[in-house]
Amino acid sequence: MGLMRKLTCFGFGAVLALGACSGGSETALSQAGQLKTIYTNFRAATAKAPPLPTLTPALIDSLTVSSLEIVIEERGATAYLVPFSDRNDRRPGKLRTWRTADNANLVFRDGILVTTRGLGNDLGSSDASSTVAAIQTRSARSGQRAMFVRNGDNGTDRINLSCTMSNLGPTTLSIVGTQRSVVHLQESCTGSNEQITNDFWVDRRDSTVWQSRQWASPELGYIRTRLLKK
Amino acid sequence: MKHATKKISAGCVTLALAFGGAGYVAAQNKTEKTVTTGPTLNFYGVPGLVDLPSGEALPTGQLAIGVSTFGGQTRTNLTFQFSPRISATFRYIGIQDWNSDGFETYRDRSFDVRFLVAREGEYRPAITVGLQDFAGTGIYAAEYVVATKNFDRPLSLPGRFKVTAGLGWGRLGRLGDIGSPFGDDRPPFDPLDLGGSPSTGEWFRGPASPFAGVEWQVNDRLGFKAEYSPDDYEPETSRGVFERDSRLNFGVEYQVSERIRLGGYYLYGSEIGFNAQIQFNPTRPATQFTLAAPRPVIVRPSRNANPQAYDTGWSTSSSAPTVIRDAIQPELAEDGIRLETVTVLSSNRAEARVSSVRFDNQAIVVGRTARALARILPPSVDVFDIVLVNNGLSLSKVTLSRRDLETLEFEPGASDLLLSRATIDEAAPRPSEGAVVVEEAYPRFSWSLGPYLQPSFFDAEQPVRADAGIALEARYRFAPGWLVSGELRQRLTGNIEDSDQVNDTQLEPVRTNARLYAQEGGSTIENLFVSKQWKPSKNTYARVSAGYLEQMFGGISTELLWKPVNNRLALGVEVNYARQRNFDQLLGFQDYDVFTGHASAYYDIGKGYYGQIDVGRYLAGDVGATFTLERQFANGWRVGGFFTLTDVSSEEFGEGSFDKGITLSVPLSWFTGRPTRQVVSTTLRPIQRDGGARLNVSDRLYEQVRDGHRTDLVADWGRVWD
Repeated sequence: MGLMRKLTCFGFGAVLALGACSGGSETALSQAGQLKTIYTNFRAATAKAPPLPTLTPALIDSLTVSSLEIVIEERGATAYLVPFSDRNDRRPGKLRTWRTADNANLVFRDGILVTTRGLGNDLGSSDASSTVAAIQTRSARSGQRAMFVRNGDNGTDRINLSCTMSNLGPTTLSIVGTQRSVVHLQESCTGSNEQITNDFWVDRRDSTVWQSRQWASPELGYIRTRLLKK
Repeated sequence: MKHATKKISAGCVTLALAFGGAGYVAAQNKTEKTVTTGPTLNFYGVPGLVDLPSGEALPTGQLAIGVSTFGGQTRTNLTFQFSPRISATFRYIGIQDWNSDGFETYRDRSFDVRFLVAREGEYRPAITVGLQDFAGTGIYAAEYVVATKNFDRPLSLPGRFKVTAGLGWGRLGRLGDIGSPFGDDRPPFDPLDLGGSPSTGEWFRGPASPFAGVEWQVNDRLGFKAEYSPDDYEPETSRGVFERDSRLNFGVEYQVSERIRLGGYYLYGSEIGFNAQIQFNPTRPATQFTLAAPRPVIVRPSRNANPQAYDTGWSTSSSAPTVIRDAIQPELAEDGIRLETVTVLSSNRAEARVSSVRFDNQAIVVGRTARALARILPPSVDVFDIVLVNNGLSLSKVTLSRRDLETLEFEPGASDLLLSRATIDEAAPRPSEGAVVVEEAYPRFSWSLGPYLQPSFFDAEQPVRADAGIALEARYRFAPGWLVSGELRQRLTGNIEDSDQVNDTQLEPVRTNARLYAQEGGSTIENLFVSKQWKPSKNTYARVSAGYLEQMFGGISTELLWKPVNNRLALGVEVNYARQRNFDQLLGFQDYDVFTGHASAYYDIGKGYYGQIDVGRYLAGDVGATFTLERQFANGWRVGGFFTLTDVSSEEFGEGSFDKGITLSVPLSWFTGRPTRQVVSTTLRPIQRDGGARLNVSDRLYEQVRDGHRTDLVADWGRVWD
C-alpha cells in the first residue's frame, strides 16, 4: 500500500468519523442512512440516564399523583411511574396502566403485573385470575397462571405455571418512612422450565399491594415494586 | 422523552444530536447471562471436534462463523442451520506455500451440507450424514456418517462429555481404512478442475475409515477436545505446506461470551492451531426490539349508559371526514405512520389508508393505527378498515372490530385472539369514494450524503476487495407510486481495480469487467431512474422503471405480479431492455444491448421458507432458470441460496461451472433494537461470471408486496398490541 493510498484511507476514516448526513421526509435506506442510524443508536445507548431523586417522606408528601417505584433486577434499572389509565374488563381486578418517563408501560391487575410494554422482551398478556383472587382475599390458594411472553422473532411464547399462594403472616413494612401493616403472601410457581417465587406485601385492611417482587418474563426476570403514594 | 426514534430531520449527525434520557429503564447495565454451550465448531466451521465433524446439529436458524488456522492453512466458514435437520456451509480457504499448479497460495471455495438423520435420545446418539466440499474442486471432498452422544457428569467428573465416532470417505478415508464398501472409483483431487458441479458419482466411493473423538465441557466456559483423525493431508504434505507426524489432535476452548468461543490446538503432532467461533441466532436479537409503549385503547361508554354518544348525525356532516383526518394525522405521525387517506364509509365504518417508513413490522402499523382510530372516531363507528400502503401500492386491508380492541387488550393471549377476529383481505387499488386525502403525503423528498463501501468477494487473489468513497443519494416521490431516484458517487480509495483476474470469458462480459468499471470510475452516477408502480386490479401489481438502473446497465424494466393477499403462490413477469453502460459510469452507453426477462413463480412454503423459480433470458443472452430457497424470520432476517442453470456449458461459463450464491439480509433493527426499515443485504457468490446474470433493478414487486400480505402479517402479529 503506497503512501498516497494510506493518506486516502486516512481521509476516508475521517469522513467516517464525521459521519453521514441525511434529511427529508423519509429515512434514507442508503449506507449513509444506515451509518447515521447506528451512530444515533450508539449515542442513545451510551447516554447517561438522568439521576434518580432521593426519596424522602417530604418529597412523597409533596406528590400530587400516585407514584410507583419499580426496579428491574436483571438490568439494575430503577424508575418512578405515574398512573396512565384505569379501567375494568370482564375479569376480576381493576387494571391500572403505569407509565415511566421514557414511555414504558406496566399494567397491573389489583397489584399483579399482567402486561409490560416498551421494556423489550415484554410480557404481552397474562392470565392471573387465581392470583388476583388470592391477593383480594389474602388467602393461601392454588391455581394456574399463563404468561404470554414476547420472543425475539415477533412471536409469543406461552408459559404455563402451576402456582401455590402461601401466607407468611403479618408484618410491618416501612416505605420511605411510612409504616404499613401488611400480610406477606408468597406465590410459588412451577412451569416446564421455570421455578419462580412471587412475593406480595398486602395491606391488611383493603388488600392494596404496597410492595412486591414479581417475575415478568425469562429475559426481564424479576421486577420489584413499591407503591410510594396510593 | 419523545419517541426513541425521531423523525430524521435535516442536518448532519453531530455531537449536538441530543437524545434525551433514552430508554433508561430499557438499557441499563444488562447483566451477563449464563453462557450456554450448544454444539461447538470444528476447523471446518461445522459442529465437531478439532478437525473432525460430530453428529449434532446446531439449533434451528443458527448462524455460525468460524475462522480457523493451522500450518499455513486458513479456513473461513459460514454455516447456517437451515432447518432442524439440514445445514449448509460455505467456506473460503487459503493454503500458503502451495507453490504448484500455478498458485503460490492456493485459494478455493467450497460448500458442505449436513443432514441430521436421528436426534439424540436417551440411549441413541445424534446421527448426521455430511457431504463436505461436495461441489467444488474437491480439495476437502469427504463424506461421513457420524454419531455423537452426550453424557452428563460421567465417572463423577464435573461437566459434560460428548463422545463422537464415525466413518468417513474421501479425505476422511485416507488412513486406517476398512476397505471400500461402495466401490473404489474415486478420482484423485485435481487443483485445476473447473469445479462447481456436484460430484455425485464420487460420493461415498473409495476407502472408508473410522474416526473418533471426545469433547469434555468442564463448566460453562472451559472445554477440552481430543480426536483421532484419518486425514493424511496428502495434497498439503506432498507440497510441503506442513509436516504431519501424528493422527492425534488436541484442543482447549474457552467460551468468551454467549456468542464467542476461542480455541487453541495442537494438531497432527506438529502444528499449533487456532479457531475463533461465533454463533448467533436471528431469533435472538443483539438488542431486544423496544418501542415506546402505545397509549391504552380508549373504551367507549356503553350504549345503554350514554345513548346520545352513539348518535350517527355526525356522519352526514360534510366536514366530518376532514375533521377526523386532521385529528388522526398528527397522532399517527408521532408514531411514524403516514396517513394517506381517510374515508367515512358509513356511520359505523371507516377506512384509513396508512404507510410507514419507520416500521418494517406491519402488525405494529395496524395496531397503532387502530388505537388512534379508537381514540378519535365517534363511538358509533364499530368497524375499522386499515389499508396498508407501500409506495403507492395498497397491499392489504385489515378489518378490525372496535369492540374487540376494547375487550381484548388485556385478555390472556390478546394477540392471537385479535388475529382470530381480524379479517385480512384484498385492498382495492384506490381509496373508496369519498376519501379525504392528506395533502402532506406528497411530494416527499429525502436525501443522504455519506460514505459508501462496495465490496467484491472471492477473486483468485484476495478474499475481499472493496471500493469506498462518498455517495450522495436522493429520492423524490411526487405522486403516489412515482419515484425519481439517483445516486452519485465519488470513489476515494479501493482495490477492486487492482484485481489481476484475467478476463477469459467466452460470453458477453456483462459482469466480469467489474475491474474496468472500477478503473475508469472516479465520479460516477451509480443509478438515476424514474419509476412508477401501481395496482391494475385488486390482486395484481405493476412497475415500470427507466433510466440508469444499475452500475453496469441502463434501460427500461417492466414487471407485472399477481399475488392475492391470502395466497401462498405468486406469479410474475419481468421484461427488460438493457444496454451496457460506459465504464466511466456517466451518461454514455456501449454497444451491447439485450432484451432480458423472466417469468417467475414464488411460493410461500410455510414456517418462513420461500421458494422461487425464474425462467427466462439472462443478461448475456443465455436462457435458463434460477432456483432460490430462502428462510425468512419475522424480525426481517433472511438467509437464502440460489443457483442458475442456463444453456451455457460449464466450459463456456468458466470457473465454477454455473452461477450460484448465498443471500443474506440483516435488518438494522436487529442490532439497534429500534424500529427502522433499513436492511443490510449482501449476495455472496463463490465467483462472479457472466452466465446466469440478472439485471439489478431496485424495488422488485414481490419483496415489497409480501411484507403486507397474510403470511408476513401473521408472523409479525405478536406485536400488534405494541
